[in-house]
Amino acid sequence: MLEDKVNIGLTLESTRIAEKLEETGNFEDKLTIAKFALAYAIKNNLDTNLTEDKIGDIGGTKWNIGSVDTDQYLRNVIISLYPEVKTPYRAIEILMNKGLTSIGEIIDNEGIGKISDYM
Amino acid sequence: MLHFSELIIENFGPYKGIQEIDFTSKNGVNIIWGNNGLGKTTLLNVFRYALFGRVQGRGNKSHSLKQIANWESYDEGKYGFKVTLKMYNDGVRYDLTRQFTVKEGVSQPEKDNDYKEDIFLKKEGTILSQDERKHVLNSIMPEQVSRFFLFDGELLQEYEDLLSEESSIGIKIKDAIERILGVPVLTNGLADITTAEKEFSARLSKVAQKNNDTQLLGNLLVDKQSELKTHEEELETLKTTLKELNVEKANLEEEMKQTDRARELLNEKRIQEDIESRKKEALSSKKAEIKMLTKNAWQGMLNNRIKLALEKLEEEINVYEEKKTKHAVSEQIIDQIHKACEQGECPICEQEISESLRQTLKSKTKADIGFEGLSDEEKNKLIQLQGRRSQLRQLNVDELKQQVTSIEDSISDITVEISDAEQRLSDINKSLNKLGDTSRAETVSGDYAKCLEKINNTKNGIDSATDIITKVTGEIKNLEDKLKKQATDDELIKAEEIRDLSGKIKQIFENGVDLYRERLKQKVEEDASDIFTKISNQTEYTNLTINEHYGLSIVHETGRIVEIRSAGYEHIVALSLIGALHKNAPLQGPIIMDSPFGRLDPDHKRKITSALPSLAEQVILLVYSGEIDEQLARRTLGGDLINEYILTSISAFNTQITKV
Repeated sequence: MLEDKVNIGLTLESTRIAEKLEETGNFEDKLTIAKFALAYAIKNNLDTNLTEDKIGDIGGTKWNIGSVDTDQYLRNVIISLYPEVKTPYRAIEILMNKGLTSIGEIIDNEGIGKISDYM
Repeated sequence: MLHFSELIIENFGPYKGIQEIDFTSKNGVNIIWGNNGLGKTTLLNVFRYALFGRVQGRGNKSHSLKQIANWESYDEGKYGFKVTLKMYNDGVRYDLTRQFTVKEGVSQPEKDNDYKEDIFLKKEGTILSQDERKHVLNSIMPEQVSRFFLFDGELLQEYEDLLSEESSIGIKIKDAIERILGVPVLTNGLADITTAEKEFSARLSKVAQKNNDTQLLGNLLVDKQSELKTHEEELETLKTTLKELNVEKANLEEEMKQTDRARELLNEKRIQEDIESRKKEALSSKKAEIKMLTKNAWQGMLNNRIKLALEKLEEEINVYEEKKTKHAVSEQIIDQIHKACEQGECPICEQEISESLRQTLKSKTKADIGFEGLSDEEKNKLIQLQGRRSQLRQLNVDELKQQVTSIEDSISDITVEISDAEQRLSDINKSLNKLGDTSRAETVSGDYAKCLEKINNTKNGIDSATDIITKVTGEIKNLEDKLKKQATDDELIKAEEIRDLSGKIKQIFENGVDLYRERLKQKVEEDASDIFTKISNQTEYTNLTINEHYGLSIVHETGRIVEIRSAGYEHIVALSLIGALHKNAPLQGPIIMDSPFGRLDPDHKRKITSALPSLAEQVILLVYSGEIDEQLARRTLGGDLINEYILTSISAFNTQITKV
């Protein structure tokens, strides 16, 4: 069985999108943006096949799970919503990147717009 | 009596080459017709330049002389200009020439410094020295009274300022009026006799000092006179300072007028900068707020999914719990049946239960009742589900979407407001750049306020000094009275008599000045009213009344003063004043009027035209053909119309003066 991740991160493309969102000045940092993207992915049902999805090389921003999920809230969300998932942090990484990719498509086609429109 | 006979202009303003106007030696009205932009007002400046070496632009601003030279002549390499004014004063002929020529060594002049100015005044053909020239020009046409001879219809506001005590231009004009009426002759005489009186007073005290009987009084007198002199000198200094401050005030008022627009813009700029700054602060605050919200907003975004998951979980949990409940209830019923079988009695109705019934019940309770409890697996599953439910409930947080939306809307509004302020600032800065150096606009109000304060302090100083002088003068009088009683010495008695005589002469002068002023004002008021009633159409306006500063107000037949008057009536009152001053002045000369008709209706224009010969012996009128009707003017003036000239445009920078 695949072991869970200790460090998670974003692909280069996801990092590019996160930087665009950071430039709006509405987010504190890329980690907040990544969590926002994760929530977006769950809200918009991009969370199918969490155990099998591949997202490509994590060539962009990276974090240690200790700094990402200090109170284990994220982990609890994943194990509560997805009891079948045995590697919650891997799933978190997938959801972050999927969320950013989807947001990125909207940005590329329509521009960034309001943050509340994504909520 | 001053009379202009001829004007020769060379390359001045639009007047290219040498051009002449012959006013002749006859008294009457000369009309120079010229449409806008052809040089009528420049003609007024020709006279101004000839007499005072100065030209005036719009708003009373002085012009650089280099700008006056004819442009076409300049392009042809003919630089500079010249004006010759030929005139008679009390029968004596004067030829005044003023010229602005290029300095030696300058091939193409660029600025005023590249030119030199020469002035010649010939008296009966003989050139006067510089001092003689200055003296003659100052006595026949002092610059301070020029506004009553060179009348610019566009500067009427100055005459309205006479009505205001506080107006510094009003004070200037009042001084000019008194000068033209000859009041300085008397006031100078009064000053001289006052000086003489002081000298006789000082001589008296010196004589008193020489005598043993009166030495003490003499000494006291000398001290008091010295004290008085100090205070009087101080008062004179203060009065001079006040005059200078009033001039400064007038200049500052002019500067403020000229910088009005700049100050308006600078004020607007400050307001917009303040708005921009506050809005940027607000934007910054909102951005910080939104960052705080977005930090945890993602949690609220999961609410729907958590809610759905919870609903599903509840359903699953219900299934197990229902099964569990059913089993528990059936167990309880079986237990009761067993007890009844043992006791042989129904615990509810207390009826006896027969043996056969007991056996039946026992066998039934052993059979499969269909309400089995949860299996171990199911129990574990239920616990798991309840655990997940509990966890999911803890994860549920408030949605922040509405708050984020609200802040984003605020940010959007504020961003637009900042952009508006920036745009307005950009427009204001463009307008300010067009005005050039606006640094003075910022400081002139402060300087004006300081000047007003200084004027106030000086006035207080004058009041204070005047009080002290009155007190010391009284003390000197008491001492002199005592001296009179004690005088036995012939020399002392004679000194007293001379002192008394000088005092009485001074009193006569003082009374004379006041009387003369009052009579003059009365005469000016009468003559101005006379001219006014001839010119005005409004029969309910019966006369003019004059104030301390020679300002004239219109009086209605009810006796009320007409407080607010139209621009047209402003013209009429100003013309009435000028006419009255000319009638009463010891200094008599021609009136040159540029556009005196302004906004007057045809009827008033006709009346003013017919009154022109009565305003002065020689009148030179500069008008455009639509301003008054040419034929009507000729008919109205009749034999009083001496000359007509017309200004014709040859090109934009070349006007020809032609006799009609």
